[in-house]
Amino acid sequence: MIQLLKKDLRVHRMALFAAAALWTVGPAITWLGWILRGENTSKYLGDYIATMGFAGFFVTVILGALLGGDAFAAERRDRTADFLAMVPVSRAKIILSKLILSIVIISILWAMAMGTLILSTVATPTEFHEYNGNQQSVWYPILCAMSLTIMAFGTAWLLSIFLKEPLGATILALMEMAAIMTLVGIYLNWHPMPDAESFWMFSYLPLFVGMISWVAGSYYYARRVEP
Amino acid sequence: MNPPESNVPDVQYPIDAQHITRVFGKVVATHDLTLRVERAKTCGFIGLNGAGKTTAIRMMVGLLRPHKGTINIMGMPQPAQAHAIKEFVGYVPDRPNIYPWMRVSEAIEFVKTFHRRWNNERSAEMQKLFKLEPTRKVKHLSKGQAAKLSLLLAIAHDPPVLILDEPTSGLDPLVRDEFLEGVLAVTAQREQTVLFSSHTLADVQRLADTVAVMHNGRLLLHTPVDQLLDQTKRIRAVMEDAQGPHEAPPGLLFQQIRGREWLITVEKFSPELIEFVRTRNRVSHLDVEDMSLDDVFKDIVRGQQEAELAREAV
Repeated sequence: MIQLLKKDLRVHRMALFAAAALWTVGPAITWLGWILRGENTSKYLGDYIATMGFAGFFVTVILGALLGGDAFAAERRDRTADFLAMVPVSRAKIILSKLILSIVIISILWAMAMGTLILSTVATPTEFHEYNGNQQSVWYPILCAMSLTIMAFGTAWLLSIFLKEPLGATILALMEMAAIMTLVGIYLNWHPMPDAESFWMFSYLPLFVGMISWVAGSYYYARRVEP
Repeated sequence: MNPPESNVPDVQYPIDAQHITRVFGKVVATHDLTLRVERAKTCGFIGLNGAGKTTAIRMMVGLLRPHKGTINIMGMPQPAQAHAIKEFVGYVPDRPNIYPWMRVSEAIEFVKTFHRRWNNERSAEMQKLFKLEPTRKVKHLSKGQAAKLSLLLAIAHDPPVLILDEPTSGLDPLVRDEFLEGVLAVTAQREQTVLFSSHTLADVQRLADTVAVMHNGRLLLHTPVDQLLDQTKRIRAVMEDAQGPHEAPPGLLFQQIRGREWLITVEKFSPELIEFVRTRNRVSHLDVEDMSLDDVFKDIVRGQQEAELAREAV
């Protein structure tokens, strides 16, 4: 398993670099805004850091799609899938190795985003107390972003099992996610719901779609003969 | 550590494909192919590009599911027991597909981790024979060295079945010779069953006990190489006039008429065939020539192509 994990870390290195670069875009823009506006006082610092944290969560959604899309399609594109298929290692182990790697990476980025948010509360404790009364404004976007990450990852994973091009799987997964969320938005516009219920629509639905896609993709990959 | 030998199944036909068919869209890549390779024999698998060799091989090694028919490797059904079969099969593809970023030593270590039957001595021996530098990255290996590494990884677990899919394509003659020496060194030491696909028929003639010819997804013949070369002959007849031949002999594979010269390739040659040609046609002179495997193959395929054209015309 260690050999598989090492291999997967190396195979998906480019996706990781791309994701890391992407992840830094949000904070970089936020910092830049803070510096350019000249509001470099501690009064606004907490807001800026909090924005970075939220941006981190939403960028992780794209990263989830990148990791899922890269999972199998990258090896098929590079023709190394045949090589792996001829080694006596079970499909379950191959799936598990890729899943472990993805979970670890996504968890690290979630932790970084959460750490950034916590930092914002340390930077401006007074303003944090204002937020504290309205926890929805903090937790709802975070949980929603986490669910969307799982959806993006799961659907890209499923597409990656059929496609040869990782970027294609990533883009299709993000498009699918955008389409579903738009439909949810349109539905909620027609049938307004209380905030709490609409929140569940935005978090449970993506979570469900993501997990179903992942299970379906993994089951199909484990059963089929072709690498 | 020496690999465990006791669990190697004892079967007469380690490679046994029965009536396998595989279709891609509207293209029938292999049609009703039945091919059995006897234990410790080497079978040369030949055919034009697109004849269906690679598809057949990919089904045999468990990289493709047949739409019809059954495949047994070492007596185990493929692909149902694909995982167990991998311990007993070494596969060298036409283009090496090892992770390019791995070093030679890393690639060996990676594959070794998963093989219970890995033979360290064999691996070290092949590495030395092929002059593979352990620290060199796969992407920096020459075509020949990558093919040799691929062979090393395929045979270092001492598989009783070795399947090579055009492993020498694109290699220069010297490297090809070195590669084949490697194959011979391994197969001579151990009773391995080998299926060897190649376009270089001289290699097949050198290595193979039997030859299987594929054409348009179908197996035209599978016969011992010696028997094929003994029985297939080219009769060169010079006609008395330019009117052409009257009647071709039975067992005709291919014929060609060039002016008064009539070239006939026949399977199952016998002296009676000469008599047949002489008595049924106005022949002034007649020679019988031995043929190389290359010529036999070309004439078999040309004969098939002509027959197909004739059928289409009808």
